[in-house]
Amino acid sequence: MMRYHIDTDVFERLLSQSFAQNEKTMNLRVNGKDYIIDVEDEMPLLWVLREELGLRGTKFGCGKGMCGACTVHVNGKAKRSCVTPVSTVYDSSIRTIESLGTEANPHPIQQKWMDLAVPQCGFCQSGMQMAAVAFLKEHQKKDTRAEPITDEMIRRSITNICRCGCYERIRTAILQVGES
Amino acid sequence: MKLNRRVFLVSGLAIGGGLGVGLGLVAAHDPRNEQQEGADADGSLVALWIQIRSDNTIRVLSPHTEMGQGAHTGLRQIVAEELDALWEQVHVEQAPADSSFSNGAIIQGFVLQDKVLSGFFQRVLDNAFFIGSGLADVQMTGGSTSIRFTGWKSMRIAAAAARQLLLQVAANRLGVELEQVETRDGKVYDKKSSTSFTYGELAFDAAQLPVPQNPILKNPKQYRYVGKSAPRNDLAEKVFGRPVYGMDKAIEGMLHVAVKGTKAIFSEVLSIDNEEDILTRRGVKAVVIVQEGVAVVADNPWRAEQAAKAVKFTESKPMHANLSSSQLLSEMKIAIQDPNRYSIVEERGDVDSIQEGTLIHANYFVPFLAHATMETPNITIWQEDGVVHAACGVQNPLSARVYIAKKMGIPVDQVVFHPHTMGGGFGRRAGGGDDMYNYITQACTVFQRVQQPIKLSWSREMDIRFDRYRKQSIARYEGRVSDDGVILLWDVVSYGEVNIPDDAIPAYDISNFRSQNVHEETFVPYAYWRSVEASIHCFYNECFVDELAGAAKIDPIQFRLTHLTQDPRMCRVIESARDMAQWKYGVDDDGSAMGVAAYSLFGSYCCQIAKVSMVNGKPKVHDVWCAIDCGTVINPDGVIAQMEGGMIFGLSAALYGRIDIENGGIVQSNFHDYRMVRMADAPRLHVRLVPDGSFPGGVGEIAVPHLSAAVANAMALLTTRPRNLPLIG
Ligand code: FES
Ligand code: FES
Repeated sequence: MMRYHIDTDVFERLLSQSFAQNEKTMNLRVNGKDYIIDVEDEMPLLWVLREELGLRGTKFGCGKGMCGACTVHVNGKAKRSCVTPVSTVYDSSIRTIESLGTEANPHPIQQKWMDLAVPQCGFCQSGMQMAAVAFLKEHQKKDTRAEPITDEMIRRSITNICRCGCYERIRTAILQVGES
Repeated sequence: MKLNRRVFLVSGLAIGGGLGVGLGLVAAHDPRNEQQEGADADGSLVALWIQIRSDNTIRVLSPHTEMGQGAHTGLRQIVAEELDALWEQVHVEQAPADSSFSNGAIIQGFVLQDKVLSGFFQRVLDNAFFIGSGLADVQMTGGSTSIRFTGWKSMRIAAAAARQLLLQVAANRLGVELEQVETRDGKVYDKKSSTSFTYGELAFDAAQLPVPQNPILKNPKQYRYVGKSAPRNDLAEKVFGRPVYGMDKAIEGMLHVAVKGTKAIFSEVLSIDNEEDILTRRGVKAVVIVQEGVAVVADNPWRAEQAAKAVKFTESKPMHANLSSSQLLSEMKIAIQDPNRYSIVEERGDVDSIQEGTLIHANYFVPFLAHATMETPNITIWQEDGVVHAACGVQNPLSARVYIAKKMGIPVDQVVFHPHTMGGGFGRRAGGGDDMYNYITQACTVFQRVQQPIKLSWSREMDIRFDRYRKQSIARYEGRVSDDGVILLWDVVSYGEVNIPDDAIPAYDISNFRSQNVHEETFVPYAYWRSVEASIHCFYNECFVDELAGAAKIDPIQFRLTHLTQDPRMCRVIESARDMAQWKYGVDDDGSAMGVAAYSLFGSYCCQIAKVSMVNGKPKVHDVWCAIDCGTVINPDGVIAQMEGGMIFGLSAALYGRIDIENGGIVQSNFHDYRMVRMADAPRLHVRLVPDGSFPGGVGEIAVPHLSAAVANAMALLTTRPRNLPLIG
């Protein structure tokens, strides 16, 4: 499978060409970059990310939308990529753990995750952090007086599985970031 | 501290110069090795674990693999401490899967003499033997050993010896007495002048000196790293999604393999019925019959998985193809009624003649359990420079390497094994037990057939259905308690092997005590499951002692304490948990109740108290208070993390864990029917360390077994007492 990193303007041209030639290659926007891919419509986003784009920070845990190890952001909302056919997100903006933050400039959730030493094996943690960030975004409205984040809200909203059982620290971390 | 006579300290020049210190073992003293043909002529095994290099860095080669337990960080603390080194100076690396880093030797040398562990490790070793050629092929992470045996009993002493050698070289160079030099921050200082040498400057000369066999150990009062929380060295990479788990391994031109398993376990595929159709699917390269299934090779894991699902095949009908777990249970029930099949685990006093007191009977049941590691089993195999390479996360890399060589019929030195960090282990990746490497077997078959780089990854369904399981077990208890609350009799027959009697026998003072068991092999494959046999017997014992307390109408904490006069460490954790929880016995005004369980395991003592309510007929656990005494604490925050994780692991099993067998195959398949505790049902956890400064106890497993009993004991106050696991069907 071919994979290209291209500039947006170049991409526009290529995309129109590919439409013109009626090929099945499609554009996928991940972490601010555009990729042209040629896969089945029903291939789950997870496998496109991991295998076509080489972004392996997003994990496979169940393949059935039950564990959240594969959580990414689609237009800012948490989505389980293992049950998201890639064809449903061709027009969307996708973000993965790879663009959440860097060591020099970590996302507040990542900083808190380090401060509280949240991860154990770490396998669920990409999905967990992506779910936490989307949850916070949904509940932190900048201009209005946001309703404070409670334990109960986190319990209802974060449904990812952590087999190592890091929930206590995950909950504490989200609460603390929510407060600040 | 004296080293065991079979094991001795060794030192020498490390690769690339500098000083290497480690342990050697006279293998000839091992009767097993004497029977091995081709044992080394000098009969010794050497592992140079600590290397002080001329650039003043200290390299620690850890034989252990990481699965979230933070062992490498603990080892780093121990070595930095005993060597008086700077934290940044010490680097821990995963040792290669090579016999020179075997820790089977260490297990044999130290652990097998440890009463608590002997049965377990004998089994670990015995199981390793069928794939390996002896102790040299064991490189095990499991049984809560990394910190205790590798770290505290081995590396600490090796580090102390290294420090002593460095002091000696410095004193020689300065021409002064040994007393005049001291170590600090990775340097040796002359106390009287300002002269100092870095360790790196002294390392080469130190490697020429004979190594002291009984080095002086540091006074714990002077510790600066041990006992203080240290950041885990893998934290940042895990937060940024960077670790390369086995599943993330990528090799140029690699093909992906998915497997469809047989309906019954250990069944054989006789023929593939639609191979032609499968081969026409996009991306599919090959269809291969493997052990217990059919593998599909494709250019993408999803294509492989979809194609595997579509495969139709005919399978053999093994003897057990009609068997179910309920049928096995009926057989167990018959077996534990038949005294001719009993063997005694322990007996004291006169069990048969006690007639006084209130008589209590109870029968308990625990089901089969799967491990369900977050990362499903997988392995990548390729050929490079004329040898076979394999990348995989396992708890015992060396045994996996030997296993692959054997499966492929090639010499071990033709296999390079790349151990990867693991997305959970819990015993599944330990390499002991029954045919633990079943996924590796399948991958070897496929690799030999396609002769191209492959990665085989199991779906969650394959993982649950072809796991090796914690055993299903039952027990029949009979006990008597006097009106003033003294246990007069404790008589139990349980089904299932008891390898570690200490994990099956309660710590309570009971003058008339008998524990018997019946064990017959079933076809169901077995593996260690985090906390091993305690996961079964803690539930039985800690429920039964609560039943006796209830019969005597005595507060169950008080009841336990009065029967633990010989066990001050257990009393201390019980009292500590009691105080933390502000323990109340009975149903509270808000409709909740507390339940307690206390157990010791792998040298640690733990008490947990759960606050539980019934919601829609199901238990809801609000809070758990946990007091842990694990002797000397190396990394306090690491211990707390292990307690938290262990409790959730135990709670998943207590509330939901259940594997059923029908028609010789596993019924459950994914997280909808093999449920895990999630955030919504994760209680608030409160952990307190009550260390006592003695030899470090294990922490990876100790917190797992308690909650099944503690929650059941709380439920007994709120509704009828549950005696079967899981507590929510
Ligand atoms: S892998 Fe997507 S939810 Fe489990
Ligand atoms: S950290 Fe291991 S599964 Fe969450």
